[in-house]
Amino acid sequence: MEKRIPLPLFRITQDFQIVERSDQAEHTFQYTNDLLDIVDADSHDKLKAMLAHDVEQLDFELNLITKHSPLALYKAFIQKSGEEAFCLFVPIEEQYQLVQNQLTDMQNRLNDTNFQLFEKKEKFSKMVDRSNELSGPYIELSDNLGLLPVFGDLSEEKLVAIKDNVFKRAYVSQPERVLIDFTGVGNIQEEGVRELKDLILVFEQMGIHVVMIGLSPRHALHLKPYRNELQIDFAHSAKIAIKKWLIAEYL
Amino acid sequence: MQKTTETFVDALLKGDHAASLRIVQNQREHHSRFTIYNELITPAMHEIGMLWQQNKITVADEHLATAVCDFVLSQTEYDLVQHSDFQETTPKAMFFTVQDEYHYLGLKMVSILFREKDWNVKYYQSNLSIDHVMEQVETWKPAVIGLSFALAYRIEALTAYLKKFSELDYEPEILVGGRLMHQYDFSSIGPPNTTFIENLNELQTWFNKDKTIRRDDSDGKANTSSVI
Ligand code: B12
Repeated sequence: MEKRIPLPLFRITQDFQIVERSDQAEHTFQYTNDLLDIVDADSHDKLKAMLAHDVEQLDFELNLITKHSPLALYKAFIQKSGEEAFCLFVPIEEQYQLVQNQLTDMQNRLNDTNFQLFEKKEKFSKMVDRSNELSGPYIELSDNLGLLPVFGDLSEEKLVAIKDNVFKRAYVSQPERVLIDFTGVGNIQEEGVRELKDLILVFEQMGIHVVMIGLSPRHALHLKPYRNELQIDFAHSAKIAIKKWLIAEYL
Repeated sequence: MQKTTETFVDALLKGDHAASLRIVQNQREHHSRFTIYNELITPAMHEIGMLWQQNKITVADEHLATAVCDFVLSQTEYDLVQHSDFQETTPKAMFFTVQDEYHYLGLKMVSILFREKDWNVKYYQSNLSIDHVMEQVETWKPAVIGLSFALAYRIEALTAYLKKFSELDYEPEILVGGRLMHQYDFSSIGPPNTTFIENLNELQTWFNKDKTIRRDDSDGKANTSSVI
């Protein structure tokens, strides 16, 4: 056995008697003939169980007792050879120290972000969902005409939140036409436009015709790329649209 | 709760804060903190110890699981802290682990259970030097001092703390806990008012006893309680 390897290496018998050891092994551990003497009592069972495995080569963590520390974490590499085994021990304490410090920091931060904040965040996101839902109520103007006024900025989240309710209501009332009113819409986000396009396509699939009303020139610009793709009408204001479809219905 | 423990262990090892918290919050709807600590969280951490023994996880995994477990424990404490309202008469208790001892999860549970019972609690978590402890004890004068240790070789440190406590000019109740309580006979060490507590069931017994004594105290004479 090579004694000068720069790590503790032991050659042992089946009952843990040390036959040979590297210089580094002598340097690191108290001199003893029984390997178990340098293994922490709570690691004995693990070592025994591991060695009992029917494999030639294995590696696992073990706590050892060194000259400097009553408990030091090592990685053991075992190579069995007939009745004997070679045990190489690599210290890993230092590597862990780094991880441990980072984790302790993280832990402290998590505790600082106490539950109050956590709860507030939960409540807040529920409120946002709710407010998004409420930003697009579906209104049945008549049997044939639905109105979907959208309020606030047009975002993906908002459309996702209102879609569910809108489709359910539209499905039940089966109108011919839905007016999507943009009068109350502020900014439009690109992802919002994509969601809107999907919403319109679903309406089309349901056989419901979509009319966009109350669009400002700025809004129109955002929707322009989809104009040809979608079978939608544009009417300038709610007033005109309502006159055209609702009043016409009752005349 | 065994099935839940398995799922909980999984979530801890994955470092999944949200899932772990959800499991505990669901359990909280039907169970007390005591039951959750005793039947879910403690067994889960012990299972994690077993997995290390079986070479299925490493100490790094244990660190991650500990961080998540600690987070979850903090959350179970949160609603208590919000409503605590200490008066001068509230009994005081302080908790810490001995020097160089970083196993504190069990101690943390115990400190929360004291808080739940309306004790005025100071929880110092881990690694408190003797000098620091004595300074706190002498100025704050807690009625209960609770300490914990898990590393076998730290028993010397424990003995040193206990000796210091026996020199105090008042007699606080000393509670010593940790996984080693059943492995050693501690009866010869520590001042006479020291109790060694192996698990949460024993803590419950201590609470019950303590309640009777305190009621006796407020009645004026000891052992005159009408509680049967
Ligand atoms: C999780 C864990 C860790 C976590 C720490 C968790 C923490 N912050 O608390 C980390 C990963 C950081 C860790 C590190 C180490 N650990 Co460690 N760890 C464990 C493990 C797996 C579980 C411990 C646990 O959380 N138990 C759950 C709690 C709730 O149970 P409990 O502590 O028994 O507490 C209960 C009761 O005892 C009682 N109680 C406890 N305290 C008190 C106090 C009072 C006042 C009262 C009334 C009651 C009471 O109530 C509790 C509730 O049920 C154990 C294995 C095991 N089987 O215990 C090893 C173990 C304790 N660790 C061990 C070792 C060796 C180490 C390290 C040295 C490893 C290393 N080389 O890196 C370091 C040492 C760090 C240090 N200086 O303290 C060994 C100890 C061996 C020995 N000879 O003593 C063990 C036994 C593993 C093993 N088989 O080798 N560890």
